[in-house]
Amino acid sequence: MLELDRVTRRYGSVVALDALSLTVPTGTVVGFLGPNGAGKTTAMRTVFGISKPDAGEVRWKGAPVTADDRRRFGYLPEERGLYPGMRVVEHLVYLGELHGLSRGEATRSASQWLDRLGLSPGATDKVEALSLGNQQRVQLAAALVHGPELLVLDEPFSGLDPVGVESLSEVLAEQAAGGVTVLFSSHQLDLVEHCCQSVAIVDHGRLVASGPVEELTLADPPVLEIEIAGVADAGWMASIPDVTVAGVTRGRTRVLLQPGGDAQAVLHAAQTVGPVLHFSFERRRLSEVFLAAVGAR
Amino acid sequence: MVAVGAFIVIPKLVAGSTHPLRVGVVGTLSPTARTEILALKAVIARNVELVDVADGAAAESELRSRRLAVAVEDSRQVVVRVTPSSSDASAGARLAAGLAAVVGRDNGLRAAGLGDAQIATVDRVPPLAVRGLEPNHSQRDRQKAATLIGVILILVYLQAYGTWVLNGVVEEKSTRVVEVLLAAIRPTALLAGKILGIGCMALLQAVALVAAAFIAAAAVGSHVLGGGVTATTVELVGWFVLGYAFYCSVYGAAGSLISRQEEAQNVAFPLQLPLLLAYFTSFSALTGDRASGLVRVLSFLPPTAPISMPVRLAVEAVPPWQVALSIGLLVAGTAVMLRTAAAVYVRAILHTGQRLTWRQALRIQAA
Repeated sequence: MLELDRVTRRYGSVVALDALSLTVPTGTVVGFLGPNGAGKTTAMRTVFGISKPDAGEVRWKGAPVTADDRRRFGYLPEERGLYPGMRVVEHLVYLGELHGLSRGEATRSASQWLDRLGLSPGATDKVEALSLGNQQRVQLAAALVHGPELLVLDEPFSGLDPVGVESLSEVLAEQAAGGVTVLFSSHQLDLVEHCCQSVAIVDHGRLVASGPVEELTLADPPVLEIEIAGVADAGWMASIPDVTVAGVTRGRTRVLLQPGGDAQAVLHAAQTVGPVLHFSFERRRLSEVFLAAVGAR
Repeated sequence: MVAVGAFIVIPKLVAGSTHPLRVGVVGTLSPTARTEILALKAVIARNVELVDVADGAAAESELRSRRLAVAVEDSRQVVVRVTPSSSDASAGARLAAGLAAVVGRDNGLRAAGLGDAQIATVDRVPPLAVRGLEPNHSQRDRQKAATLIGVILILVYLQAYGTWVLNGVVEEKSTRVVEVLLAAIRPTALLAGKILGIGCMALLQAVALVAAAFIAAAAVGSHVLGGGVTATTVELVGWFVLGYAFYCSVYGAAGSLISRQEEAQNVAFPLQLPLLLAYFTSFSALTGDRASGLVRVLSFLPPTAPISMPVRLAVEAVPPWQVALSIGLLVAGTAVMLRTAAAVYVRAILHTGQRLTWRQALRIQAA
């Protein structure tokens, strides 16, 4: 279990992390969300001691993180970086050894990951000779090659094509199933919803919402989805009290039911406008949870 | 390395002919006398060859046609073509004189009743060792020459390897691989590893260079590296190693101040100035054969000591405590520099934008 306990980090007068507390339970995938500049990258760097907290502490399995612990962590930094002139497989072996593997173990593991990520044909190419997407895959392999207990991935999906996204999702699920603790940040909320058991949302260096995706999306306020034949906009709802229109997509209107709002009243109103084709309670989308959480901005 | 080899081999090659001088032997000549004649090679610096000749007449004609340098007849008489003069210092004249002495002495020892074995024993008695209180001029000059070459190599190599360390650090920063590395290992380990790795290469190269010089010297029988020069060379390699550790830490810290390769030259230039100062002052000290007050001061300061102290050692007697102090300061300076470099390294590494100044970096370190 990874814990950030009231971690504070200031850069001059800017407070990047403001007593941020966060827990990633062992063997789960936690999505780390927040607007740009919310402090996600700084928080991830503190896990690796690259950014030193001014206050608070980072714990792994209940004890402050040590250099030995970090060798069993895998990190995909936001700013990708590899030695451009090094051959892919040699690079992975080198990083594996740096994390404490023997040369033989590192070689075996590197070729397994290259195979798994579809990079075997370019294994002896120099890193700089690969396409950006493939360099991204190598970077991912670099975070995985030593079989880490904790994976911290900063924007792992950015720059990947849909095939890459799918295979990375599978890898993350597999890793978690194998007991690896995973924390990753992303702006692609539908992906996060798809990959994660829970999420943590930060804003201005503070945790503003967290918990299992199920709970967050089922929490108040309830969402109604309504489709009325021949009606493409939500103007008819203007007179109904305590509802907020979240948006209209392909003829379906999503409505947030505020406290005091009455679903039956909405249904009646809809029936007076036209034949109701669809009327359902839905869970909130993660994007709606996110916007509600950071909406105060 | 080729240059060093050439420096040693070429003077030897142009030093003149090396074909042996032939000694004609008419009649009997004892084995002990033969051995001693061949040993004259060491005195005249030319090989000597013994040739048996049928009789005196044949020897004379061979002497006149210059196929023989000298002849000895029945161990009684030495014959040369031109009567030697006392001022003749040619190899041939020295050979004739040596030959006359050797054979005469051999005859004398036999007349005194000694046999072959006893004469051989007497002949094998080595001369006594001679101990000089001060090195002679040619030794001093050779030490100074070795120091000058050493100082130039130290200057060139410190800059070359320092720049190598600098570029390595900048490469890791500019490609951002550093964040992956620092997630796994400590910045001091990363920097120390880089310095050690490149340092082993540097030391290997320095040792190879010195070894090549000594092997070339041994192969051609040169005395350029003899006497005090061996000690001087070992000493210079020692100063190089100390200077290397110091400068690589400095260059490593400098590398972490910048994020782009193009800035490397700007940040490296000021670091070269102390070395250049030490070099230019040492040049005048070596040619003028005395260390100025400035050189003495520089020989204690860590950035200049690796050049200025060996120069002082070559031109004057330096009290051992001063050498020890200089080494101590250099080692301490290296330790401080290494820690500073590591601190600057880790803090500056996250500043990817503008170049940090030394002052900012040190303030970061103090904070």
